Formats: sequence, structure tokens, C-alpha cells
Amino acid sequence: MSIKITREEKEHRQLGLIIEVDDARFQQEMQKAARKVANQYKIPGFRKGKAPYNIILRHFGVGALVEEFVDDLGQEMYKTAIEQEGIEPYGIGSMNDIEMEPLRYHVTVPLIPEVKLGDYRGLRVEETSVELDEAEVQARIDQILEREAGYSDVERPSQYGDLMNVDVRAVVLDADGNESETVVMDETDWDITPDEENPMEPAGFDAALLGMVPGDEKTFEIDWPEASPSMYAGEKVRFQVVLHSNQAYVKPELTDELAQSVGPDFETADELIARIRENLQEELSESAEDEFLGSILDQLVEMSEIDFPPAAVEMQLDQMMQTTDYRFRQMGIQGLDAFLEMTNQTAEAYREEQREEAEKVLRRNLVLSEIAIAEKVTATDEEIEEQVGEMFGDLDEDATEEQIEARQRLVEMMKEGSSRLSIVERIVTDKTFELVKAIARGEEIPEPVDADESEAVEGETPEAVAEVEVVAENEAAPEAAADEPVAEVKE
Amino acid sequence: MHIYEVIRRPVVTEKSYDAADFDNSYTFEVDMRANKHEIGDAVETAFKVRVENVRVMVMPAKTGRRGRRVVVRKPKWKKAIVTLAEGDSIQLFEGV
Repeated sequence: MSIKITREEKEHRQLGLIIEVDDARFQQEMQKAARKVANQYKIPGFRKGKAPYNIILRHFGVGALVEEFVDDLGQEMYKTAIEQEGIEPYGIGSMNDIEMEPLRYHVTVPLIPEVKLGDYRGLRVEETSVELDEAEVQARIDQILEREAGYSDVERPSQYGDLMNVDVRAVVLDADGNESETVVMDETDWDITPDEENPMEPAGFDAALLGMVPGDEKTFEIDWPEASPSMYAGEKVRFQVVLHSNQAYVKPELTDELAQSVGPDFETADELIARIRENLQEELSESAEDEFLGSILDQLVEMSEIDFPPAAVEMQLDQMMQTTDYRFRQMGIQGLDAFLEMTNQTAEAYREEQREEAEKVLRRNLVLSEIAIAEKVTATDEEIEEQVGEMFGDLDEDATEEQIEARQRLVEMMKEGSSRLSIVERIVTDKTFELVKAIARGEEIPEPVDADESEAVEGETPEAVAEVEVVAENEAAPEAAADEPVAEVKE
Repeated sequence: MHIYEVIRRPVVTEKSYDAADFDNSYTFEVDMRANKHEIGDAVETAFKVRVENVRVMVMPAKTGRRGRRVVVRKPKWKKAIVTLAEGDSIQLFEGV
């Protein structure tokens, strides 16, 4: 069946189509809809489904009947139109308008984005050098020491910050300097820490506790300051303090023994420090690498002419929200919706918030996949094999026959269908990242070789690879962020 | 009585629809006071057709009960089935 289609060029890689449904088809659909409607509703004077067409038409009106089939027919017409015109849509088309008599659909079809790469091979990006900050290393060491630190008994006279175990009895003195009936406090086995900056009430009490050794008894009098909000303000109070024990907060030195207690890998303190340094270095260079890649991508996007339909951004948004949702679920939150509810956001607002990011990611993706095509980046069989192997990890030495077999089956499964595609996608993405980095560093890059000549994957022509969408680097970011300081791992 | 007072409304049901299809007879609700002649004249003038035969009947009232009281829910009404001459037809039941 042929249908009448009018093309209408639109900006930003969109194609407008006006699809006209011919009258015969329209009538046929109307009859069908009438039958359906008649079976559902009763028309006075007729049994269900027995009313003739024109009665139904009059009873419900043309609009109601058209309503019945207009969406389904639209879908069908859209499909036919796409086929007939040989259009390759990038995403789902959107229905803009429906015209009646004759029935006409106005549709907008998003087309595949167009990317004109700039002189990407000429791109040079300065790599930021990474320098290890010694203070950072020291901070990490302190962190470990802090964990090992604690209170331990000391014999020296008490100081600020010590943890003192005392008995205290405080009594208000009368005008003659004799003890009255009013007892301010009578505490035994009391842990207190005299503090210079935040002293206890009354002022001077903390200072009076200093310089004692366990077993000491001390009696002193304090004039409770007039300005105090306490009920004893202005009174003279006698304190009797007995010190039972005194503990000081001690941070240990970094010794070999301490290093050994951190983890079995460390024999000496130097080894621990070396490891900390190494980890820090790694973290730094990783984030520098990310930054490097980010600025390369930004500049690649900058120099390219990219035109894409607005629907592409929506698709990217959908995907991002899905990923976020999945991540939340993994974190134990009941999905994105629950998170939004918790933070009092609407899904729409959140979506708008993400729009800019989505567009950025989309641009990067588009440029990357274009480069992947231009450079004929493909995945070889070996690479796929390797990637799959990595995903499952190595088997134990003493794996049973069955386990080996089961693993083999899994590997085979991963190498087929959509999972294969996603693996190829990953490999191509990684390889493209490496490629652009090499370009930006000014390394010599050989001209792309045709996939046929190199060891290409069977049936994996450059065109097939082109359909693989390259995933931008921010997808990988959460894993990198999960890195913890060295000592954490060993616990 | 004016002709538009005679014909109240067309009766559109499965049965009357069939009668129109197979018998060229059209069914109307008419005024209780109208007789066959008046109905025939009214149809002829109103629809510009030739009337061959008119059959009339009085449809009984429908009653219902509310407790011991009998209430008339639908009053009686007069129905006329008008057969037209061959070749004539009424674009029946427009504007129910």
C-alpha cells in the first residue's frame, strides 16, 4: 500500500513528514472502530453491537471514532512511511499534529546526528604534571596513627587534655568559712578532662586539677563568679578532689611493629610509607588522566561541527536517569524516584537539571564514535576473549570439570548477541580513548588500516562498528571514586 | 393541528430500522390526537414523499410501583408506521 507523503526539511537533523491516509483506508478504519465501539456501549433501541454504522456514527460522532484508531493507525503509517521513504530514524519520531479530512499526520523524525570532525589529528593538549604533595603523604600517615592512638596511664603530673578519674566533693561555705549544708556535688569515679579552651564551671576548676599525680588528694576553694548563670553564683565553694588514675592521649610513633599491625604486606614502616606514596601517586595520576581526557574531549567537541536532533538529548537523558536509578538500587535506595522524594525534587526538575550534562555527554559520545569510525577502531577476537575473561576472573586451580564447563558456557554466551555488542562497544571506547590521548600527546599515529587487512572480527565491518555507540568516560567515574586509602583495604 | 405538531419524533430501534430497510416503512411517535390521514399528510409534506399506507397503534403506558402506590412511569403514546411509495425514502432518523 502506498501512502502520500510530503517531506519537509527541518533544522537540527530532523525531518518533518506529512503522511496522508487515503479515504478507502480511512473508511475501513472507521467501520472497524464503529464495530468495536458498538460492542462496548449500548445505543438506545439497539442491542449491543447491533446498531448500524450510521447510527453509531451519529451517536458517538466522528471524533470519538477517529480517536479509537488514530494512534494505532498513526504508528502503522509512521512505520510504512519510514520504510517507503527509506529514512533511517535515530530515535522515536514524535507526532506533532493530526489534521482531519483528509486524515493527515504531521510527524517529526529525528535523523542520525551529523558530525564533521575538525582537524582532530592535529590536536595537542598539554598534560598536567602530577606532583606528589608531601603534606598529603604525612596526612595519610597521621590518619593511620590517629586510629592507633588511645589513652594510656601516665605517672607524670596531670595536664590539659588528660583523662582523669576522680572523686569530687564540693560544698558551699558560709560567711564564716565553715561548710554549710549545701552540697554542690558529690561524685565518685568520675572521668573528666580538663580543657584549656572550654573550661568547666566554675572558672578555675580545670586549672586546679592540673599537676596532680594518681593518689593525690587536693582541697581548694573557688569563688563562684557572680556572672555565672549557676544557682551557686557568688558563693564560695570548697572542692575536695581525689585523683585515682590519670591517662594521657598518646599518638604512637610510626614503627615497624605498627606497620605490621596495619597489614600483613608491610614488614617495616618504610614499606608502609612507600605504599601510601604509591597509592597517592596512582590516585593523582588517575585523576590527572581523567582531566587530560576530559580536556581532550572538550576540545574535540569544540573543533567539530555537531548537529543532532533534540530527541537525541532526550534519549541521553533517559539513559542517564536509568543508570542513576540502577546505581541507587545498588546502593540500597529504592530507585531514583525514592531519592527524589527524599530530596523533595520532582522528576521533571531533576531531568532539567541533568539536561546540560546530558548534552555534553552526547556531544562527546558523538565525536568519539565519529573518530572511532574515521580511525577504523575495531575489536579483535582476542580482545573480546580477553575482556570476557577479565569479567569472570580466573578459575581456581582445583576447579572441577563442571565448573570449567560452566564457565566456558558463560564465556561463549557473552560472545554472542547483545552482550557481545556491549563488549565490543567497551573495547572500541577504550581503544578510542587511548587513540585520542596518543594524538593529543603528539605521538605518531599510523593511518587507519582497513578492517579487512588487519585481524578484524568476522562480520564486523567498519559500518557495523559505527553503530556501536561509544560511551563517554563519565560512566566509568564512580569506580575510580571508590578508591580508598591504602590501610582501609587490609581491615 | 400543524403538521409539525403531528409528528413528534422518529423511532429509531433495531426493529424500526429493519422495517425501513425491507418494507420501506418508517416509524414515528405521533401526537395522541392525530389520525391516519393527518399523519400521512404530515409525512408527505414534511419529507416530500408519497405515502402509501399508515398504520397506527397506541403503545400502553408503563407503570411501576412505589410501595402500595402505582405510579405511571411512562405515559401511553401513539406510534405510526408509515409505508412509502416505492422509490421514495426518508433520510431517516436524522437528528434524533
